[in-house]
Amino acid sequence: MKDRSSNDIDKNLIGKIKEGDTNAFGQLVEKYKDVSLSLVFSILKDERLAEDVLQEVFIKVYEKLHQFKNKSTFSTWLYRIVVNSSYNELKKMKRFSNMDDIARRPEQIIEKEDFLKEENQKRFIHMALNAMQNDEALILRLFYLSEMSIREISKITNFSKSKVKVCLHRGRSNLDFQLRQLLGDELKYLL
Amino acid sequence: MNEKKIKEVIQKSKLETSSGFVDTVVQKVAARQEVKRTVVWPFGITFIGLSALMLFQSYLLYMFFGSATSVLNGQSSSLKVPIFLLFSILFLLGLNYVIRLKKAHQQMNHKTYNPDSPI
Repeated sequence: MKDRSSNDIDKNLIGKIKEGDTNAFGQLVEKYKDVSLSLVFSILKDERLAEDVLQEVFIKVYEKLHQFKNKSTFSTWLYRIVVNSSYNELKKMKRFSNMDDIARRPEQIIEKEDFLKEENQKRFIHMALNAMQNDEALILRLFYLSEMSIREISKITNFSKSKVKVCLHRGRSNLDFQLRQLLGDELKYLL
Repeated sequence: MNEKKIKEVIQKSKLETSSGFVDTVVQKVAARQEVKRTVVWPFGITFIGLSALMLFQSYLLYMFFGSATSVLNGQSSSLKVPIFLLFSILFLLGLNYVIRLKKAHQQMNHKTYNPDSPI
């Protein structure tokens, strides 16, 4: 789904980074940071922690970049590291605390009258996505936000293609359900 | 909701990193490279030096005291202790240096990864 020019830009930047250009690395981070953060957040459901994990992911990416052989696109390779690191962090967290408590932490109440404000719409969407299963939220974001194909998502997550399709289908239904639960009739004003 | 609306909703859920995120990552990467340059290289050199010292010590001990045809065989054994002590002290100093390097490496590594600490 990703266009060819994006891959060419990545290849060019990676070539420069391998020659020691840290500015090129900065450009690569700039390009992928927000989508990557959204993916980490899908799994960890904690924005601050997600950002800390993402910093370590990018440092790891820099150190392992010589291992990237252009067999897949850079974005697939990067998101695979992002997803693996996030699940590893989740495992660590589960050892020390009850993740359900963290994931289902109540968010600040938003009055529905303020719903039309852009920022509040975003918060309702986050609340709906946070109420969903990690895998479903992650796959929805990989598909619609990162614009990855089913095959690429399967590579990134190590799920079979059929599981990705099932998660995608359930994710769509659950997102609709969660938004209806949160907004009721107001859903029609969303976006 | 239809496919198009779901896509719009998901795209709206995109998070943004805090300002200065890129600079922090680039600084951390540079700091880690510096750690590698300053610590990993001396660590390797020290390890090779210590190994060579140990081999040399073993060779000398064998030559002077070990074999029947040793240099000091039948002569005063008063040199045994100072020579042995000298090499032991050199070895311990080297070992101490390696341990200090390792500690410095761990501290710098921790500093690099700690998101709250300044670089």
